[in-house]
Amino acid sequence: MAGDEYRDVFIAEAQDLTASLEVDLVDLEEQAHDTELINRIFRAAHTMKSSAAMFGFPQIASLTHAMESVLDRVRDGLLAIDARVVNTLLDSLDCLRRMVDEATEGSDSDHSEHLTPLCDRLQQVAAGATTTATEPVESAESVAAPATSEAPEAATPEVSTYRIHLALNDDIFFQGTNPMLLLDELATLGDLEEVCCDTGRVPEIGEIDPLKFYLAWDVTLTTTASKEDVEEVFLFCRNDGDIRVEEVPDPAAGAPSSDTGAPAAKDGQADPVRSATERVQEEPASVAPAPSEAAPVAAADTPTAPPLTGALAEGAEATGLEAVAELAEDDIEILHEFHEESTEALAEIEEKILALEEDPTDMETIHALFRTFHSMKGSAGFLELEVLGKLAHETENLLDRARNGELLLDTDSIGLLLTSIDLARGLNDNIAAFLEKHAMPDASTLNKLPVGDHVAAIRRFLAGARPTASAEAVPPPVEPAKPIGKILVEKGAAAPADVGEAVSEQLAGSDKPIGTILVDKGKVAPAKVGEALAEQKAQRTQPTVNRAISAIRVDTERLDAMMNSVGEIVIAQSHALKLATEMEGEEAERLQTALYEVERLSRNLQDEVMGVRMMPIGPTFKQFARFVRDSSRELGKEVNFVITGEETELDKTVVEKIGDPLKHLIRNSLDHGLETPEERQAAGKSPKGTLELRAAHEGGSVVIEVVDDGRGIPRDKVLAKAIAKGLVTGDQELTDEQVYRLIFQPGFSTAEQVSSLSGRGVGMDVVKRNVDELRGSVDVESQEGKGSVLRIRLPLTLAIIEGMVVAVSGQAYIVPVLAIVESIRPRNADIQHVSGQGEVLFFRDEYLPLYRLYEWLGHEPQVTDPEEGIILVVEDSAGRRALLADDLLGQQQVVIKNLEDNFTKLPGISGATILAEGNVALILDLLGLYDQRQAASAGVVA
Amino acid sequence: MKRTKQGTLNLPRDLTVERAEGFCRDLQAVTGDGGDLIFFGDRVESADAAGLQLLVSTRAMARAAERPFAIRRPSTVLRDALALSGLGDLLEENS
Repeated sequence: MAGDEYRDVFIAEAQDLTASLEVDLVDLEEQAHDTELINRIFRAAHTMKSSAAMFGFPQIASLTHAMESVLDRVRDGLLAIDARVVNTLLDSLDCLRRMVDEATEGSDSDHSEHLTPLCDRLQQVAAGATTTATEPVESAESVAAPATSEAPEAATPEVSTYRIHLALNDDIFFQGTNPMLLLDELATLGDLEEVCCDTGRVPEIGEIDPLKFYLAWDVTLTTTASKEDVEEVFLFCRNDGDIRVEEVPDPAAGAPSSDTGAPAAKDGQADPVRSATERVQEEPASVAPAPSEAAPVAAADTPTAPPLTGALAEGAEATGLEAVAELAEDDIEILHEFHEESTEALAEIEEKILALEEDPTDMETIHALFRTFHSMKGSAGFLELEVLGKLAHETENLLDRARNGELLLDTDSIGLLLTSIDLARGLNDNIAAFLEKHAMPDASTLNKLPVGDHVAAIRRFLAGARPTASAEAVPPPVEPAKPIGKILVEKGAAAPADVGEAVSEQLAGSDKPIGTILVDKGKVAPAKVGEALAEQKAQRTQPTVNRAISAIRVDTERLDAMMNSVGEIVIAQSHALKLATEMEGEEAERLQTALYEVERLSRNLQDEVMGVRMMPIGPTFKQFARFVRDSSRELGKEVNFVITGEETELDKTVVEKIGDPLKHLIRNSLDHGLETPEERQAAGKSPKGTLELRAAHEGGSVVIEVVDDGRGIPRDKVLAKAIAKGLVTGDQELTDEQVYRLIFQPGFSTAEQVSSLSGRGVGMDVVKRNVDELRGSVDVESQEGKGSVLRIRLPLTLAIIEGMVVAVSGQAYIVPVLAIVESIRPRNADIQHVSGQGEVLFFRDEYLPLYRLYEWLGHEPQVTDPEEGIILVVEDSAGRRALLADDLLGQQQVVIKNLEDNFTKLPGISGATILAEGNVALILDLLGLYDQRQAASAGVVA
Repeated sequence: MKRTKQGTLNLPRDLTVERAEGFCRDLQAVTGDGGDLIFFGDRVESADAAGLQLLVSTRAMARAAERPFAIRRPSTVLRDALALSGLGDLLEENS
């Protein structure tokens, strides 16, 4: 098992990945053709598998491996998305989440009982097998892809053999890498046909350093996985040694080329494993001399590359549409998408290639370019666009060498890349012409492109590729400077068109720098070029400091501690300012000025820290997509789930705690609000109902709404039930709002039938209580037949509240302002004593129970006459009531400090704060105080 | 790691990098005593490259000194680890 630090990194990543997988898998049902979505899901499963194997979670690795097999076939178009596929993946995800949760808690159960049948199911699904007797009966409906709902025949995946050389640095144990896990993960990809361990570096036992690593391996792996998948095994250690993955050419594909320096075949087959020594000796031979037109067409890394024939033959001209006429109607639709994506991608990558000219070591750009051509190759292969596929493949080979550090991109190679783009664009234009006419266009209107010549040129170039300088010679990484042209344009010294012209001239063969070309043409003054060069130089001298890392994970405990410290700074500063204002004289004034500045800065700091704790509500909303999907099916309802305002941010703690109440509300809407399709049609509505989750900022609060277009809340029914339960009397005149609020009373339910989801009379009161605990409020709007809106209003943060400072028997207490309806100076005439019910206050046409805070808090009274004190009318889930305090001392934002950390939890007290004077004030938990009072006087109706 | 009455040696439960330093010291001690290097591996519960390369190192020393070296009764974990890492020949008698 990896160390805690790495384990935590894995768990944090796994939690993110399971959350995103859930959202994406639910989306997959509706967007079965979304290749980006499918790729994203695949990548998530793949990343999780790799990390799990790396960090010692074999069960997670094996499950994600099985999921990945299904997704791989989906990705390759060999398996259609239907309910069975999605349900199996979702069931796997549930199991995955349980395992991740356990890992989070530090426990490690054996899940084989669930894992084995689940992996079997995944295997059956991957194979396109029909439902087995042991598998839960799933709906056979095809969810979103009727045209492809018949799974194609299971095709045999292409099997490749790879030679992997793994020689890790001797300090690898200190990097947290376990080399055996790498081998183990390779084994999960396929068959490790040969594992040759080089023990030559291992010293004798008297000499060995047990914490250094001395072994190296040459491994032969036969697998259906791609080279990228194999390389991904080494994702976390690829810079920690000599790691090479090479595909062993299929001997059946053609005889090995003797001019490439490939090792002699043994019994007609390539030698599966060569020792590291042999390889080193051979390598110089694999780097051919400078490219020559007369050199044979063979790439160093593709010794068995098939000869170019047909439209791809050297000298031939291709349109790229050779097989398009045979595409099925469904594929034409995909061709449309492919064309759009390619157009967009080609526009983007041209700019990137030009940027590479300025900084040929920019790996980020090289990787991006590689991915673009890789995707293009995949899609072209699917659509049988052979010419474009081959063009993308060869270009990808070139970029692969660059990204592996085997090739330093220079003017020649960048020229090849640009030509690849031009050709790809020409082929893409032909596709557009075909799509426009929906038929093969007149040949005279099509681009006829020398793709075969270009592919051969890339191969020749690769055969003589210049390797990058050795690691020692590579200069320390520097931030890639902006191209000189870009700097000139940004400074307004040159027009973009002029720079473009200069770049074209340079690409056409001019060896002059851009600046010189522009000066020669009289487009830019030499001084401006000088300034731009100085700026560029300055940029180049700035060292790169993890520029790929733009975000880091921070433990929330650290944030809490930071928030606490900042709160203390604010308090201490307030105290200092108060003392300063009591002083007189010029020096006191200067001190006050300085302290006001400190106050401004500390408030800014407080806002910044609070901002760090804020997170968007989106992920919480999205996790309900699955819940809505499953629940609506269980209830036989059709629901369109909509999310708006997902970017709305609120405090992390609030986000974490709002999930449960929100789930109750959604469940309630699904169960009681939305009708069945038949009921909706009978009511003249569309059979599919809508359930919307909305979030928005409103003042200092966040409002979250659960909106449905269902049947609404039956006002009369609610009222009748409330009267029957004695919650209200029949003669009370209640507004709609008051009636709907009754559903939050404990035990209240109008459901005639208890379902597995709701209707047991619990839930809505729990929602109210949970929201109260978050210092929020909940209310309802409804229109019978039209739908309901359940609205939760929450504070942005739990760390700070707006508090009313009140005096009770000489002590200061804080009452949350959110709970206060009004504060009044009562007249004694408004206060009456009702026998058996205590004191009541007549307030705005209703009688409210009146409580004296000094009694509740156990103080000797200082103010007993209500006319001399102040009454706070407060409201929460226990209803409205009046509280008598001695005086109001003011309203202020207070930083909440909990008592549990250093003392103990007190019923009725939600925390404490330090006031500007430096004294401590307890924050009242009004609901807790009320409950405590009720419990103390049990049997007495207050 | 102490020799049994029969002169054999029991490999520890943990042959991983966490225990590599201690295991290395044990091996250095037993290779210094001049006896046969016959190990029993039935107790091994975990093994990684750090532990296995110490066994390789011991074998190298044994070969150089022409002393008998063998790992007998390997646990499944040890056998699997050796197989996975291509070091199955360590299990051959007098390897």
